[in-house]
Amino acid sequence: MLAVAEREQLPVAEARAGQPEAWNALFQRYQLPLYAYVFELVRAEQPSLDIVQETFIAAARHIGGLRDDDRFGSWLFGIAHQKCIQHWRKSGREEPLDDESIERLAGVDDDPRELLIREEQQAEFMQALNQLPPPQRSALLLHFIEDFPLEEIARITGVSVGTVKSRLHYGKKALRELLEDRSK
Amino acid sequence: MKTPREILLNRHQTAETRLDQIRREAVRVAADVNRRSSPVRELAFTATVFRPLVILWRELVMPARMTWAGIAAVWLVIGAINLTQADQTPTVAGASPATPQDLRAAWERQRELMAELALLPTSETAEPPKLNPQPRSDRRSAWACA
Repeated sequence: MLAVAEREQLPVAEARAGQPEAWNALFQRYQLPLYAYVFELVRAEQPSLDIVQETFIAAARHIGGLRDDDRFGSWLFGIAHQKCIQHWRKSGREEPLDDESIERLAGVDDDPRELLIREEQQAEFMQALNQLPPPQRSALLLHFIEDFPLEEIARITGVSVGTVKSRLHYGKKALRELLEDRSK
Repeated sequence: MKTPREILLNRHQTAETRLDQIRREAVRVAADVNRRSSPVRELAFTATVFRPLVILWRELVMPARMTWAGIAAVWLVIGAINLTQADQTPTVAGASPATPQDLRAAWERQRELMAELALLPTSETAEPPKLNPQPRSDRRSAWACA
């Protein structure tokens, strides 16, 4: 199963060579998904925009450190994820993304992308998503937004693949239960 | 029916205008970063050029780092001793140039020395050593007797 970004030909090499058009294309491709991911974790507009901007600038400065061009998307989301953690640290909050309370290994029994939501359920879906603990929410967002494979999500969030599996499994299960409760 | 991706992206469509501004600013910064002696390309170049050195360092130096450190220390001591001794020795460049009087005196000394050498007996005047020939061998004398 290919991730969303893997099906595309992204001008990463051209961006590395310093072509502004290539940077423009890359940023345009990722600006909205990245913002959606950051916003759903940070839950504030201005800090989310700042984080997206900082992420883009960091990417422009450190593109030389990217070894595999096919992983540009997960690399970019990884930078943004770290910026979110820094944001929490600055604001004096605990790091909810580092919560390792759910470590039980569980298989991902079905594909989260197959989850289809009816028009009238969209608001409920977002409310249910926001009720999930941040580690589960982060894993689900990465899976929903960019369809990253488990290994990529593990790399972005800095946890093991088993932990990602567990978070996806329990996150999705909780999401379904919340949606069912609301529809009753 | 919509996928979660569609719902999530649609939800944030309103931020597109501000995201476009951010993108333009980031592209400008990216171009600026590239223009200013291109640290990105510099990093890549540095990585390429210094990679063999890094491998050498890791494979050759690091396994025997104590030995290399010892050798370096010995060389440092030798260098320090050399420097100390060099400071005490007067250098030729540091000496003052000879005056005409000194040159004249040296020339005079040289001439006196040559004159003394000229007075010594030469090989022609010396008496040749006297030769006292001996029989070459017993056998030859035996032939002579015969």
